[in-house]
Amino acid sequence: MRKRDIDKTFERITEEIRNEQPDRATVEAAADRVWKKLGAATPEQQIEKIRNCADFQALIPYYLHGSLSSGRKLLLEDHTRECIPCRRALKEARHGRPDQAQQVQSRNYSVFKVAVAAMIFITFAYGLMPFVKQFFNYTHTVSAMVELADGHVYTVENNGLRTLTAGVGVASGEIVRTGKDGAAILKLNDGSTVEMNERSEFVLTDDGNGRTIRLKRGSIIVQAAEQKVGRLYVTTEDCLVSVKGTTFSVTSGTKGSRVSVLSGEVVFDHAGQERTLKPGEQAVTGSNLDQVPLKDEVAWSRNRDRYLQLISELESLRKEIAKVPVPALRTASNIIDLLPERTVFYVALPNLSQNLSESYKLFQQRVSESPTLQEWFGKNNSDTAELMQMVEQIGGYIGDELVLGSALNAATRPHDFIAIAEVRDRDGLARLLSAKGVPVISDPAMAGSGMNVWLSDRFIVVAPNGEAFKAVVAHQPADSGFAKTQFYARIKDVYSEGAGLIIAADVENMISASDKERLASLGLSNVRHFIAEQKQVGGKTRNRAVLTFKDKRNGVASWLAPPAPMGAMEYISPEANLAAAFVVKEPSLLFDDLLGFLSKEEGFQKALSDLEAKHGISLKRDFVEVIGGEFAFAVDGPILPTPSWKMVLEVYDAGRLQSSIEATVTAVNREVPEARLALSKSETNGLTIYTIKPEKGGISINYAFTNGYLVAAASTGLVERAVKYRQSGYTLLRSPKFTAALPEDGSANFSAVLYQDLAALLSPIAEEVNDESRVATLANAAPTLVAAYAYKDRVVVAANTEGGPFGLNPAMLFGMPGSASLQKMMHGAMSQKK
Amino acid sequence: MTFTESTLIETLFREHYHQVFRVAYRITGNALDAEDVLQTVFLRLSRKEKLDLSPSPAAYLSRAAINASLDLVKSRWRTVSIDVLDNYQSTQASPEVQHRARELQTIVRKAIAALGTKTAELIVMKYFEGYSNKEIARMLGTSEIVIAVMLHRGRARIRKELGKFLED
Repeated sequence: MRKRDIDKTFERITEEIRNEQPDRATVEAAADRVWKKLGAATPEQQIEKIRNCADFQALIPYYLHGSLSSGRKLLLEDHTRECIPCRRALKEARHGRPDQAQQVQSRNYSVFKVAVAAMIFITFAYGLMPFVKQFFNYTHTVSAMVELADGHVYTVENNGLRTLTAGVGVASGEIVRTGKDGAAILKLNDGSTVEMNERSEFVLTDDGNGRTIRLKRGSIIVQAAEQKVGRLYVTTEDCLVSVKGTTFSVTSGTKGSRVSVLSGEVVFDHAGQERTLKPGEQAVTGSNLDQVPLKDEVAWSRNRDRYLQLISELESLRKEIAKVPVPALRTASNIIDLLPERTVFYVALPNLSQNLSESYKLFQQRVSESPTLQEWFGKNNSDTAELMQMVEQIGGYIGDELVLGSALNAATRPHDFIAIAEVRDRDGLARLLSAKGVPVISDPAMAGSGMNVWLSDRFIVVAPNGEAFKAVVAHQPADSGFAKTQFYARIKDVYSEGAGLIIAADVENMISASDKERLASLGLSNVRHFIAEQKQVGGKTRNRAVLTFKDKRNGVASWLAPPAPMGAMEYISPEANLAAAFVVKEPSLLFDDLLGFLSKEEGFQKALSDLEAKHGISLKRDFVEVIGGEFAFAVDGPILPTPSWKMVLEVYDAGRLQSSIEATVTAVNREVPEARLALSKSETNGLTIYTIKPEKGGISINYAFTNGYLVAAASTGLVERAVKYRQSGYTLLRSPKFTAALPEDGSANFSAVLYQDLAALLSPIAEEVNDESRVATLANAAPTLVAAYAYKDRVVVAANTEGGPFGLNPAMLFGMPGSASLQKMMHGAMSQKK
Repeated sequence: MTFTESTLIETLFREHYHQVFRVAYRITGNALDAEDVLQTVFLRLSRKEKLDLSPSPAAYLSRAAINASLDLVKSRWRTVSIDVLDNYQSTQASPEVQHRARELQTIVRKAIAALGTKTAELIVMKYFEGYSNKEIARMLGTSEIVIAVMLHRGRARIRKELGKFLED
């Protein structure tokens, strides 16, 4: 379809959207509902009285803006008639303080705007002053726009460095610098792009003749747009390069400068001599500087692009394969009744042969179409193709389920697995098996001691040895004792809700008495069943594992507390890359358990009591008893240079914990004098933040006690921000990304949760680097979330992932990395250097 | 937040709820989501310690509504296919035409939401809200040229998505 037609369509659609008016009644109704909810959010504020001058003065801005109710307005006017300080405050607010007027005047703008501003001053209430002032802040000119900023990229200002990110503008005269491992791509107003390597610095200047990029140090690659008027210049300490439209790289260091031309032509001026460089040519200003092969000179940039291309294609391919339809969920099984009473292991797989072969065909097709993918996967593997063919064939002959089972034999040990499937086309399967040379028996009595494949009218049974075979076959399905067991009932429950993949183990009967004793201290001796399942529902993959106990959990297994609201998570923002939280039962009980476990080790008790006596602390009393059971950890913020970690801990007695921490710092300084830890504190906005840092500098731990929690982070700024997140309600728990990733158990409370969203890390990079929307979809990949719910007699772990069957998908079988690994690779590519 | 600030919120709400709703409605395409956005925008506002509504309350709320709407569309775009026909004033078009128009609108909405945050905001401001490049440049604090470049790129991507859909 022609570009113009598409444009017209787009115009038409946006016009339709623009003209769409929501129904008046709908809007009113919605506004009513919302207002009720908002009103409910701040009921206490509406009853507040005006108590003192401070309250009155707080009303002034709104009085000047005209939004005070008439009652309050009267009160304020009345009050200021009598109260001199308040009257003065009102006067000042109306006329503005002297330095405010100064600031406005020092701006550089046209006379007309000055006149308008003056009019505003005089005729309108000074409540508008703040708005007007802000308006004028936005008129400085921007000469370049940051398209991509990775790692340390900033502009140098008088009072320090300001970090640059994608989408930020850079003005003429501003110094742009990249630090170690930094990289940036900037687009100039004329369309030229400047790509910066790490540790580089340049300034843009504009003069009558054209634009100049003054490279102070480092490496840049310039793709100069066609210069219609004037030229683009790049200067270093010792040379000048002028261009009309080319791609070239300039490196400048203490030894001199090096200019390499990739395309187009460049005039190189050094030491009074001019030279024209053509593509592939290079010039250096100092004889000390080596000539570097062109390829290497730009290697740090080219590799990255190619790598990104590869990753985006892999991700598209993975997504396509994930869309191949999977068999429907099974609500019943014809095979389970065949298993013997003492079955302790049950695995049911859906018949994926069709899905696998279709995925493989799709995979082959895409790889043949793309040279990038071919490079990655190497030569076409004919073995895999053959295997796939066989899978497809066999799959066509059997039913929709394959079951693997294992039962206890006479010696009460589980025997080897046997596989059972329903047979759809007995003759076809028989022919195939004999063609492949597989011996088949048609009468169970003929079973030998080795591998047996029995093909009956309805089923095919494969057993690795005679014993296993007999265990399954030697009973009548009609009176199978298995159907009476609890294990069977549990498995049937899973089927009743629709089953995909099931893995179930009757742990209670599987482990021997001696094993049970060993596991007793871990609390796992009374485990009853383990049932894991995975299925595709509505395009998402639901994973769930349930561990049931005979009675109340004890030991390690009981450490996890029942699901509870995670207050600690309110300090984490929706943009967190990684978050983990859990609630434990009383930490002191946990501590006792742990001690009990560890004191089996020789000398542990003694070492512990020695340590405590020496420093006059009691671990239990001074640390463990003062903390609550909630714990959260997150990486929330930039990853470079130091990961923005934060940790939140519920605290019952902040005072005692603080003194314990102080005592610990002293103790550490005594034991390890080189550490010289310093504990300091600072106050911001009513929040006291403590900092523990080695005297000689380095990483610090910053923490504050707030609202019953201890919030610790890599920097004081992060601690402040965490507190702000909670106050503003801007938290991970309420972000749509998080709630969308929740397993549909309905509950908003967990015992433990692990959340990972690497995509958030990549999206600012992805959108600006490559025009392909495929890269954008990589960045939009859903986060993964694993949640655990610990009830009295069972623990459930659930997660939604985007993998296909088996959580891996067929793609993984062909040697493709999964989504998370792709994202990690992508991040690696972004920071790849020469 | 003090009593006086909550009065301000009330005033702002009364003055601007219609505008916020309309902006959200255009981007999300349905009234339920628009209501969601209305609530989110004002709830966030009411939770702030200090109210800073530069350059002007209308512009600030407009942008807040745009961003909240785009967030919502992005978070939903995996599961939403075609919206059920909402109650809205349409032309006297036949159901098929209406449906087709609705489909196209959804494609455009999703394509916009898939753009980077800044670019998406620009496209919405220009094509849904009808601001001029100059006005947008002023509100965002950059130059017109930069706006034009970003708009151009954003349009190119949307055109691509539209093109793909129309070829099918």
